[in-house]
Amino acid sequence: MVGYIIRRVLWIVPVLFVVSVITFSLMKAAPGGPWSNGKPLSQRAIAQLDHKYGLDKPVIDQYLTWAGNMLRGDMGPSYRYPTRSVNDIVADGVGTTVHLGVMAFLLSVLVGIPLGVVAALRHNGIPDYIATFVSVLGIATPSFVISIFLLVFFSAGLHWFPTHGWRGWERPEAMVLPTIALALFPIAQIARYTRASMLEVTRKDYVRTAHSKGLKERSVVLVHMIRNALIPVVTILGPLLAFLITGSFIIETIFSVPGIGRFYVQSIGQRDYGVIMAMTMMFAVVIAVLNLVVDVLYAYIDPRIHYS
Amino acid sequence: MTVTDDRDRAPGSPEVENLPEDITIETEEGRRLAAQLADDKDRHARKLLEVRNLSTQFFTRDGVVHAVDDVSFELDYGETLGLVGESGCGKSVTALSLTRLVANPPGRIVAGEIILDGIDVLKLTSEEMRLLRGKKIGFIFQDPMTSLNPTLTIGFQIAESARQHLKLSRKAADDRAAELLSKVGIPRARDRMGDYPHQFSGGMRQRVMIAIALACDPMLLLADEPTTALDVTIQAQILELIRSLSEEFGTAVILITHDLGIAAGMCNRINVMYAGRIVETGLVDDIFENPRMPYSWGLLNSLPRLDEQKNARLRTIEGLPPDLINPGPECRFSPRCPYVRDICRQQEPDLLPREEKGHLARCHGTEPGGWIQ
Amino acid sequence: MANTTAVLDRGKVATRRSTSLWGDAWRRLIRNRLAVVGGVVVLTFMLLALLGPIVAPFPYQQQNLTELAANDHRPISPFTAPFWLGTDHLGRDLLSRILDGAQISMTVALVVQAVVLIIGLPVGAAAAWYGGRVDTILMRMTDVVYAFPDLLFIILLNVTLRETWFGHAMDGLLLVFVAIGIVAWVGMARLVRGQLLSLKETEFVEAARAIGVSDFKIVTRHLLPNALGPMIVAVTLGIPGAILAEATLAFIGIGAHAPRASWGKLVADGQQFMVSAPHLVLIPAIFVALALLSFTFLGDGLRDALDPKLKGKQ
Repeated sequence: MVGYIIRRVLWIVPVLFVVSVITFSLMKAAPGGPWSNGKPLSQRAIAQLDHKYGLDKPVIDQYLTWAGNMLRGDMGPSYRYPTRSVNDIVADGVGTTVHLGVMAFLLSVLVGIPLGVVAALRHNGIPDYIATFVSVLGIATPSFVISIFLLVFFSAGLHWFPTHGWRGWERPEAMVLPTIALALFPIAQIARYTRASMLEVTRKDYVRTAHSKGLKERSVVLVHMIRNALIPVVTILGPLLAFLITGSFIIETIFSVPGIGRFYVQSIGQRDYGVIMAMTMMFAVVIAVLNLVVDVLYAYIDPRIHYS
Repeated sequence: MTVTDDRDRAPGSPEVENLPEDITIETEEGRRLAAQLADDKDRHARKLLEVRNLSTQFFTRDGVVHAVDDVSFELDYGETLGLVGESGCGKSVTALSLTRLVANPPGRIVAGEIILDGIDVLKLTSEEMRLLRGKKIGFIFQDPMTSLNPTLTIGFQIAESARQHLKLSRKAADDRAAELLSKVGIPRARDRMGDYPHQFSGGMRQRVMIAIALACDPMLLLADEPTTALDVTIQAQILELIRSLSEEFGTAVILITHDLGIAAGMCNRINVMYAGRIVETGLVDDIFENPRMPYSWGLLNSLPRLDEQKNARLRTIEGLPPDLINPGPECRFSPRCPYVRDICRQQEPDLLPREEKGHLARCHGTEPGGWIQ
Repeated sequence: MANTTAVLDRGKVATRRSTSLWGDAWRRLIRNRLAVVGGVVVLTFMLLALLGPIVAPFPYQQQNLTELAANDHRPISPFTAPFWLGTDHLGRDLLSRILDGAQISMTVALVVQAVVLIIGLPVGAAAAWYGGRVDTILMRMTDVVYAFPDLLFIILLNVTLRETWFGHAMDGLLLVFVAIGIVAWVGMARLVRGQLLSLKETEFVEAARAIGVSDFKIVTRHLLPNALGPMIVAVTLGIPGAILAEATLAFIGIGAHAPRASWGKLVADGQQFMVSAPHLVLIPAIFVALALLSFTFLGDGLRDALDPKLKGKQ
């Protein structure tokens, strides 16, 4: 297992290298450069700026400098905010983004799995219809649409929750809608997979064996079924975690949550290439690590899997 | 660990509190069963098992499948009975019906009585059934590859049953599981308790299944094609194991198989089933020496024999079993029977006695005065 | 197993009428009510997209300023003639804009899947057929694409290339389509590879080889038709993903240049009038949801119909 983890970590390196090359090349391929968007600058001003940020050096040198800085944890400057580095920006927002993501993740697991289990046990009963409805809603409605529906009904209409003003635990009521909006799609996916998987497990021979021992229905479900049923569910956790990260861009933008996702979207509009590039790399690293964690978790709940 | 509590459990293991006290008793039959389980007597009735007019049907989109149709038979304490027939004849569904494990939907027991050790099984609530399953009836399933839970250890899966019914502490149940495991011939049983099913071969897994089935010293062991999924060399070992353990424990066995040879070696009596019906029943010797139903001949004839010429063709029974949706009034074997006459197509024969004691057959042709001799 | 009775398998004598594979699949599909409804909605949307400019009551970019002024310069509410779905704050007819948006969303559906097939199919087929280094390179490539969060890559591609000629083509839509397709083809390549690898070992391929059929013909005549079912399902279920990606991009401001707007952009634009004119956000949102739902239902139905083994898994 340790060997497997080490090899997986080592495999992340070339992947990230390729990702960084692609990212960097795309940035260089972009016409105009970072200064062409705001008010027109003189040739001299541009040259000065280029020199200040090292943009007048050969491309390879620029890449090596950039990559070297990234490796040292220096994500470089923001071209829009001369006084702030990307590190500052990330440091400001990362706590909020992680907070929102963790809450949404917990919510989706704590709601999605029981929903799927109950739906399967009461197959074609009322819980099943509720679970199906939630799944359909979550899968068929983009998170920005969900967010807006939530805002229209619960903020503008019923005034139950504020439309914005995230301040963490200082203002819990402002966390409700963003968390639900971000979690709905994962809830739907987890519920759908759990339900399908439970239905399949119900028909397994070993469940019949468990019944033939005279076990209580509850322990057949808890001991014999759920763990087996969750094995395929774990496989979608990786993509869902990636979704939570990219999904937070949208949610943070809509609900004005001061995280790094919102800043990322702003940077797109402002062509702040330094920020986009650095954050893309950071997200790629995070997602690669999360996928690794999910795979290790997978081996933990399925004893048949031995990575070697 | 010196002090053991009935409910102590190792950290990290799922909580199990299946002590029989948890079962709510609702019916009179349930109360009698609970009282039986509390006393020390090992026999409460004349026969261990009496099945009367059992019918189990499957309600499918294409229609109602009469999988088990009006089946009656008896079983003595300690006796071994073979249930023989080709795939789909209803022998497995009969066994599942005895423990009421037929998947519902689509299956349902629609009529009949099952009296096990004096208890009317069909009168019990599904909750009360749990007192019976595992405790009075042990079940060995056909495919050991899929019948064990892949995410639980072997030791847990055996001990689970003992903890459920014998109110053993975790430690005592583990001891019992280890003992059973070595009894079924797993070497270094103690060390292998923590292994998972995938670390065992097919034959070993079937041994584990036998240990699970025998964990609470049941009176009746249902073995549903226990060797079909195994290598031929392993088959004999497993059958021998079932035979010797059932003798040692005094357990009655219902052995379900499509292989008359296996049934002959293991059983006292044989029920031959065809298309949801018992078509012949009797002592093993009677069935082999004087079969009174053309289907039984077919089964016997299709056994390959060592004294035959090498290139002799395997004999088969022509045709396929009938559709069990809306069976007609005719003898169900008549479309395939080489001796068929008009009466067979008009009226299904009854299961009637033949010369030997306890030998019954369902065939117009072999009845006294019949055309088949 | 020496016992011949075992050969006689369980159950029923073959009495059902036998039909072709596709005929069977079709009957299973039309028995699935949700899939039929999904299919009808999909066809309607396709038709709307085709006929959009003809049936639209107004040009989508036309600002009906007189009517707007008559309404106190506020967006006109829906359900009144001649603006059945109301107007936006510039007096543009919402119905006409949605019809134009339908064109974008349906084009996404088709163009992205075309890109996916054009890249994914030959690459997957080549990897399966030639194996070895070709296969290794493909698998490493897909590893990289898998490791890269889809949306990030699409955003990156769009941000960097939107000022080029490529970014301006088709009102900026071509870039969006291609970017989504570039991310999505990997799944198709893996699917085709997996399917072909298992088919490659079958006897009918051995037989075809034995009689000297050319590689190309074996792949196109024997392998691909047998892999068609799962591919159709993957394409159909890929469409809602593509529509969703486009809508999300449009929402964060990437995609069609104004005044054209996809449904996602209409939702984003309507957001600021959420309280005063909720129809501007709700109506396009409903269209997005309908499109996603109907493609998902149709795809699920196709999967159940084309692969009975998988039935009940969802």
